[in-house]
Amino acid sequence: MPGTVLVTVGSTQFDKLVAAASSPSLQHLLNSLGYSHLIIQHGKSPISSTTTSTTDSTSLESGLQVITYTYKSSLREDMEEADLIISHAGSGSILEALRLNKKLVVVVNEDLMDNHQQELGDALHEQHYLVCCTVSTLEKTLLAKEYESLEPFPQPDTTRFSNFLDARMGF
Amino acid sequence: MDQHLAGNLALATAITLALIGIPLTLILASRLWSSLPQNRPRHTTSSESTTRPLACTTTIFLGSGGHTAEMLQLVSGLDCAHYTPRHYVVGCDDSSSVEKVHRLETLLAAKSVTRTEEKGARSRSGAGTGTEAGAGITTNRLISDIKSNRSELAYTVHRIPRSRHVHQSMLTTPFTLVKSLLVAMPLIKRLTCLTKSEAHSNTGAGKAQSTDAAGRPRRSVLLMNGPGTCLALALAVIGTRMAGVPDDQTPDLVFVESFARVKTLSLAGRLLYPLCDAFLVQWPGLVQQYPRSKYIGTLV
Repeated sequence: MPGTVLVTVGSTQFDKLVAAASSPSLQHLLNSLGYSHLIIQHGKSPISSTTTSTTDSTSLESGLQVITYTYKSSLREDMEEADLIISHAGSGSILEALRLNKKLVVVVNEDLMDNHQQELGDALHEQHYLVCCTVSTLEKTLLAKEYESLEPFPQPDTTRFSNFLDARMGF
Repeated sequence: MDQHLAGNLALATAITLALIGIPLTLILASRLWSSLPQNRPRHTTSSESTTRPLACTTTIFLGSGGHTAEMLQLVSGLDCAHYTPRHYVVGCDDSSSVEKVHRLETLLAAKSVTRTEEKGARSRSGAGTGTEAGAGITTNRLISDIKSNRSELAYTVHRIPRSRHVHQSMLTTPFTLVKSLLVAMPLIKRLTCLTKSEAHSNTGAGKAQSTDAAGRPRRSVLLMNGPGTCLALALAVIGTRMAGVPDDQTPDLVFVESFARVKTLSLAGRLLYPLCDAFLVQWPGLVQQYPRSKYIGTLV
């Protein structure tokens, strides 16, 4: 049964995504989609203490168990446990989630100046490896449930680079 | 009278300086021009040499964070019997990359031990930590060690100052770049440049003795994937070529653009594009914009 949703901003600051994730409307939506637990890794972004307690698990009226924390040295464990990951569009987080073959919704931070993250998100969305959206379209995107029918991301092929370099160096 | 003399003297000095300066600048400019990879026939290793190289000295720049993660992923696929020794260059304040190097090398060592058990692989972990603590001297010793013994040296780690810190002003960047360049030049010379005898197989005997280790040439490669600090390393290599070191004794400059760059190159990518001998991108659309780049699929 689908249980846990992980929202992660990595090492960045993404106030709008954290605010959206801690809003009652999104939590109700996640609950109605069948999820029972929500983990919010909010990094440098503040999280309002009214919606969630800043430390341990709290049960809200939405029926969702919410855990929040700023950062962990490795998110891998939480990613492995999650059934749905809602992530910022950093390539590190994206790759880590894709490697674990998780349902992935990527939220582009439109406030970033050099926004090549949008390009990466769009390109991977086009190939159906993930769903890419913005904070304002997040709820609509979740409702559309496109994340339920994604393609598995191919495992890393390290022979491509080694073959290239071997040929170049003459091995 | 004195004024007149002073005036003449100044004029003479100006003319002399111009006579020396202008040709000097022109010579330097043409040297730089001919040192750029697209303007020179680079030694085509695969077709030119029928002898397989003995090994490839591999210098790897780790740019912290995502750059380090992608680069170590690339390195993890290499055959470490061929790509040895491996020299890792990290930013001064980047301890987390150093930790990741130690972790990867421990894995590589385990892999190669199982692969060549009868060879009796030497302990690698000691070499790595020793270099870390003892900076230059230990590294020097290790390098001379491997050059004389042809033993299997594990790896070394070196630190250089960053060319540009996050949010640093563009005005002060040239100064920090020069600072890292001053560190990079001797380091590049020491780590990556080959001696003439290393770069060339024993002519004539080379083909016949292609199985003989002593007759086979060595190669060198410098792997980079950003950010800006690797510009100092690339410039240092271009500098040694300008100074007349033959191509096959300098490292092959290889840049791999991040998986994150789909339609535009990173700043480091744009700066290094004209300098590198090989330039890989991970999204096909970039090849149209940058014809010297190559797409061989997703690499990470």
